[in-house]
Amino acid sequence: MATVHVVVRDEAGHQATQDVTVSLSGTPGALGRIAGVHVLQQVASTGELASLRTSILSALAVPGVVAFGVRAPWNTVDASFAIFDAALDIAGTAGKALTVRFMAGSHTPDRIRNVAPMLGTGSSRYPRPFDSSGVLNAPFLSEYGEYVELVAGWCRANDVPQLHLSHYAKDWAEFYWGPEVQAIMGSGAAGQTAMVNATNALADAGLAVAGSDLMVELPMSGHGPLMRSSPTASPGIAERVAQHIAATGADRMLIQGNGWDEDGIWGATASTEVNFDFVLNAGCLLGVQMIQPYNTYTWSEVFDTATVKGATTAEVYLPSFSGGTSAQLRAECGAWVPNAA
Amino acid sequence: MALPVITSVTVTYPSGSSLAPGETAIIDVEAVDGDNYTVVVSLFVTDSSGNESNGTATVLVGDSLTYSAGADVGTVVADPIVAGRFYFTAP
Repeated sequence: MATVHVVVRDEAGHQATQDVTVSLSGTPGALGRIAGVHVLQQVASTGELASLRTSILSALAVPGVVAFGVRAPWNTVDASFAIFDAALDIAGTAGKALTVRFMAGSHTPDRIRNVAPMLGTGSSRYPRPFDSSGVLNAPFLSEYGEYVELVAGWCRANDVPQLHLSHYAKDWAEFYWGPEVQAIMGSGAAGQTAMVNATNALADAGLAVAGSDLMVELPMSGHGPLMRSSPTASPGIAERVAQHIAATGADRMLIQGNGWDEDGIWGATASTEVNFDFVLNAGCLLGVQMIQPYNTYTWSEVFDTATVKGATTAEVYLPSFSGGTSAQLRAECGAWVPNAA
Repeated sequence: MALPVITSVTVTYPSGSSLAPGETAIIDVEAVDGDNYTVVVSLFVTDSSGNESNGTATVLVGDSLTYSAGADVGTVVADPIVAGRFYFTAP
């Protein structure tokens, strides 16, 4: 069953409302289930999640919100899926879907950091995507693939329609093409090609477990430069990875811009945004994620951006649903029409 | 000032009585302004010979109404031309 909430207003603003039930049959595919707005929250423990339960349920009740997205450091969801289990309970209580995301980088479990090549030192170590010859990090990729397969199995067992993938990264789950990585082979063509190959390997690990019942996603934004340098220049790293995804599994994998706001989705200046948008020409399904958890945005403009870019999923941080301009956000969630899945 | 009154909400399925994933149903909402009232207009027609005929017309006077809709799942799009008509697509 679906509930459609109808509102009729007169010129003085007086309104009448009525809910109408629409009967649904069949089982929606994963893409149909995730199309819409997701409430996003990062936690590092079940206790932290429990403390947010009431506010998460309130946000999930907003018309147009279709899923709860939980994000956790990999080392908190490695030995146990207790955080995912607790998030599933919240989403189930609200009658909404759950999506899960793990963050690698310095959050990679020590069992992997102790055996796979890393950059950085001490507790800040994070995976090295490739070596000075461009050879990929096989030990890390092996562990990454096994873990993605394990989480995918949990998703399928629990009717979870989306698994967000992590990049090698440093502090977050997004791309990390920072100075330490660029220093391995240089920031020129050879280094960029190595980064593309290394990232394609992550995408392939996701595509290996994805299907019509489980969509996977990989961000195309992050620490760059990841885009082409001008409209006439050759494709940048992110664009090349998007082309690989489009050619390999466009029907079961989304790419994502994690810098979404009123002005764009890549978290970049206007001129950079234009060059980044060539990623969208690859032909992949698109998700967007708010750049910050603020409650001060002009949400009509924020959602206009998502529409113009052609997004199918839209992740909004939990704190945005309270105070400030949250009333406008709640209205926009119900009015937003995601790109047809 | 009285609230608008929703007089009917009709769901029309493309076939059968439920929607398969990706299918679209039409939702028609009918409503009236709660403060509306009728005015009876008397009409007189006289020909050049002075013969007269008369009749009446009833005019409904009220605020214009705006319609909106949202759904807990799937998508809802308003018809750009027909007020009160929406298209609901199943997830």
